[in-house]
Amino acid sequence: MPRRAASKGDLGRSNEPPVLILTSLAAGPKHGYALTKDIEEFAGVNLGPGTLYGAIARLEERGFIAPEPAGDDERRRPYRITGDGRVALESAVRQMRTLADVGATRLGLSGTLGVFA
Amino acid sequence: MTIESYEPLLRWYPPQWRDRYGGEMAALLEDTYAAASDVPLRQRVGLIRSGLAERARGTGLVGWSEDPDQRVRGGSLLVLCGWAFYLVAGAMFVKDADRWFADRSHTTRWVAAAGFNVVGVTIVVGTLAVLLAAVLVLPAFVRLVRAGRWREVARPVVIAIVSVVASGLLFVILAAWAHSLSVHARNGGLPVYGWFFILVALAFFAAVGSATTAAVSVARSVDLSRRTLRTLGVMAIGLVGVMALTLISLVAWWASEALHAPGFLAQTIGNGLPFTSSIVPPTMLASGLLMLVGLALGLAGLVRIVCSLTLGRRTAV
Repeated sequence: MPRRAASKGDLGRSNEPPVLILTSLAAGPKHGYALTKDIEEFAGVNLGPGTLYGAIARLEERGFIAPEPAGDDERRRPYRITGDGRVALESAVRQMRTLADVGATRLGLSGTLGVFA
Repeated sequence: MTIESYEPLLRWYPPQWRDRYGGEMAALLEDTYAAASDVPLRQRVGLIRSGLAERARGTGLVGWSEDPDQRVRGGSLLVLCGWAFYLVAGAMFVKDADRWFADRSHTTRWVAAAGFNVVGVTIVVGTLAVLLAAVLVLPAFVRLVRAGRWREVARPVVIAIVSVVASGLLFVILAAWAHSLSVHARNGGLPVYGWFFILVALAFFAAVGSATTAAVSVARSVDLSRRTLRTLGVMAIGLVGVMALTLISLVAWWASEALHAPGFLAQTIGNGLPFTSSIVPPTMLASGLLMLVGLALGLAGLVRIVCSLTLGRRTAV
C-alpha cells in the first residue's frame, strides 16, 4: 500500500481497469457504456459496472480523469483524460513496453514484430 | 426506464456514492441489459461486492485515499475496531479467571500473577485512552449537531445508547443477584442464573459492537482538524502497543497456569467441548483468538497511520 501512495502515477498492471480506462479515454471522451464496449473491443476485457465505476471514482479522485459537461442526458456523462492522467498512462505504457521488449528479446522475437522494433 | 428500476441492484452502495454515480451506473445497466431482471447473477454479485467495498472505503477502513489525513482517520478507526475485540476478550478472561484471583495460592507463581495484573491494567488503560479520544472528538460532534447534521449519525448513536444502557442495567441486576447466591449456585448450581448470565454477556457484546459502530459512524462524519487527527493517530499507535502487551500478558498467564496449575484451567467455563482440553479451555481459546483478530486489525491500522504520517512529512518537505 505505501508503495502505491508513494508513486502517485502507478496505475497497476496492463490489464487493470485504470490502465484500460485511461487507454480508452486517450482516444477521446466516453461515457460508461461506450467505455465498456471500447475496452471489450481493444483488450477483450468485459468490465462489470461495479468494477468500472469503482475505477472511475478512483481515477477521478486522483485527478486522472474528469467528467465532461453533461449534454441532454445527465446520466450519460462522458469522461475525459486529464494532463495528469496522460502522464500516468505514458508512464504505464513505457513500463509495459520495457517489459515487452525484454520478453521479446529473450524469446528471440526482436525484429519480427513491428511493435517491439 | 429510470434509475428506480435498478435501485435494488445499487442499494449496496453508500448514499453519497449513489448520489454521484447511481444515475450513470443505472444508465450503463440500462444500455447493457434490456431490463433489470436480465442482469446476470455474476454482475449482481459483483455489484454487491463493489457496493460493500465502497461502504468500507467510505469509512476509511480500507482503500488508500490520496488524502493522508483520511488515511490517519481510517487507520485510527481500524485500531478502535480492534480494541472492541479486546473488550470482549478481556471480559471473557476476567470472568473465567475471577476464581483464580480469589485463590491466594497463586501468589508464588509470579509470572501468572504479573500476567493477570497486567491484563487488568492494560484493559483499563486502553479503555481510558478510547474515552479520552471520545472527549477529543466531542467538540466536533457538538458542531455537527449544531450544524443540523444529527440525522447522519442519529440511528447508530441512539442504538448504541440504548444497548449500552440496557447492558448496564442487566449487569447491575446480575451483580445484585450474584451477591445473594452461593459460589456453587453462581457456577452452574442454579441454571436460571446461568441463562441470565449468558443474556447479560450477549447484551455486553451487543453494546460493545453498537458503540463501536456508532463511534465509526461519528468519526467519519465529523470535521476534525489535522492536529486532532494526528493526535488521535498517535494515541491509536499507543493503543496498539497496549493491545500487544495485553496479549503477551494473557499468554504468559495461560502458559504459567498450564504448566503449574492445569487443575485450575480444567475447571474453567465450557470445558469438555470438542477441540478443547484441560490446558486449552474454550474461554481462553476464544479470548486468545479474539485478541489475535483485534491485534491484526490494530496492526493494519498502525501501518496506515505510520505510513500516512511519514508520507505527510515527505510531502511537506
